[in-house]
Amino acid sequence: MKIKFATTFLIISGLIIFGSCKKDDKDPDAGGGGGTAAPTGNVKMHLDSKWGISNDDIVIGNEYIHAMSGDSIMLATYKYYISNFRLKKSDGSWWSQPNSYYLVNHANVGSNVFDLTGVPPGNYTDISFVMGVDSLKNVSGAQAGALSTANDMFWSWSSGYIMIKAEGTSPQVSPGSVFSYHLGGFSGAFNIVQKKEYSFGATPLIVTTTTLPNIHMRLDVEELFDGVGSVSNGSTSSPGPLSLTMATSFYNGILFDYLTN
Amino acid sequence: MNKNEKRVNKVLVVIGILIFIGACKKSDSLGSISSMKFEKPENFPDPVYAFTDNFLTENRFNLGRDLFYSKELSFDETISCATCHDQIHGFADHGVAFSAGVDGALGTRNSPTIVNMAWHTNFLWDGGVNHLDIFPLAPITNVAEMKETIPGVLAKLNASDEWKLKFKKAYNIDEITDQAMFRAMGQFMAMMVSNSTKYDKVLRNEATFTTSEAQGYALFQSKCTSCHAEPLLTDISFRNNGLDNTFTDLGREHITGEITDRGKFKVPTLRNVAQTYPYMHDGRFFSLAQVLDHYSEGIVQSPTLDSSLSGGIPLTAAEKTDIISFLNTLTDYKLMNDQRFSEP
Repeated sequence: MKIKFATTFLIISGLIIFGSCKKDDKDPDAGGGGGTAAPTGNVKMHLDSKWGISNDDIVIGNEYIHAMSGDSIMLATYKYYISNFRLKKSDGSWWSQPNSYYLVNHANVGSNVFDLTGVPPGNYTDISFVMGVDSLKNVSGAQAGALSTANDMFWSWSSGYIMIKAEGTSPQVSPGSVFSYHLGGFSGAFNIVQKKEYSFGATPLIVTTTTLPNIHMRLDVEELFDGVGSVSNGSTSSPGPLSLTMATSFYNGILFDYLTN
Repeated sequence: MNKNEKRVNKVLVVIGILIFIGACKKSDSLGSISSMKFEKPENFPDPVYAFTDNFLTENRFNLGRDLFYSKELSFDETISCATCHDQIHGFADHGVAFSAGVDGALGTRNSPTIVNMAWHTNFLWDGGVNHLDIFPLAPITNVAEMKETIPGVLAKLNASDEWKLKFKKAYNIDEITDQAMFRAMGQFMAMMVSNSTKYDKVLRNEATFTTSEAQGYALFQSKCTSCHAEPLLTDISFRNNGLDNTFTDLGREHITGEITDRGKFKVPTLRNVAQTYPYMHDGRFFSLAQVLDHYSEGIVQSPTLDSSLSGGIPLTAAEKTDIISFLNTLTDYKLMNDQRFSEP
């Protein structure tokens, strides 16, 4: 009888060890996903960047003509942060994706399409997300994954994320033909972090454990350049009025396009 | 119950306890149990650096030290953090106004001491960096300093089995990340606590000032501590201390964009001040005597000049001598000889 007790003690102490020492491996910034045991589903996000009214996806290296300024613009870099995805259930409650940070980099084909994982099954009527990186992650030291400094999207000399980076060439820029817009700012008057919310309209998003529904958002790169007037007006590499104007114009152009269940 | 049963029972319990202790001891290889502690000196305020998400362990601290002394962080592997933050020079550069970077490139600001960084809310002369962990990004990527990229550093580190083992031991990761690198370096720097100067010992009644030092301390308290606040000997504010009226370096304005911040720089700590010449953000003064002459007779008026300096700080020759005697008590020989912070 007593031996049994001691054996039990052994097993329990083993379990405690397992539990307590497991803690060390925990990475607070590990990838997202639901923490509950209940089965969940995934949703495929498509962030479709276009130029103006064109239905073609934007292509790095192609020439685009800006309708307002007449500038000829060829992009070499087009990157931006989108974060904090949330979905609103038909009962009015919100699901929030944990550790929800994405860097869309159009030099990497496919980075504008990704899965939101761990979504509880149900019908959803709205989506919300944040354009940029919330202020907390701008002041909390070194981050991982999409927020790693290895992505070249963090200012070394004035801490904070570059939330939109658009670089390229235009014959309208003189001298040198190169333009460079590094837009950011997470606090004060020139904060470009912006929360966006969209209704899906008549058809809800249906999440199940077996299907993969798609959400298509439409972004208009031409509107980014609406904010600067003409690329001949100069570049920027810091938070400030130009950063705010360009980002606001770009964010205002984001639309919910369509979904498929 | 027979005797044998009892004994087996006892043995099993003991084994259970041993396994329990042993297993949790094992995580020492990850460093969860650490003999290392951050000790806040009693008379210091609460530190800003909190080791949050980055608890202090020996393996992490040692990794931070190895990185601090590694030239692999620079593009051509010629420069480490310690090149410009040398322990024997109070963790500042060795008597040069501007430090030489890769290819001999010179920066535009003097390399300061980096002690007591755990109490700072911002870093660099203009306060542009907002977290100690992320600080090394600036010198690593600055073309006039280490001229490297983060992917470049990570490629070098990940190509080395030795580094991979160190990161595995410290953070239990197989692929080295910039986050782990920065956090290890943050720990190492946060641990550089200076509180063993003669000045500190006098405050703790472990030593006594000479007459000249005591007179200098009294003068210092009445004339200098509104900026060089005790016991850190900086109030971590940004001020224009009357060096110029036209500014080639905009200082804090570079970060805030505010014209009212023009020519303002972070008040430096005076710890190790005798070892960290030359002085000012651009290293224009090579001696403490020159610095005191500046405050006494050399203040230049400008719109953003600190109000406390509008009339200068008139000092007699004898007063200057006494203040310099006091400033010489601010050298932390213990920290400058602490093997934990020395090149491994």
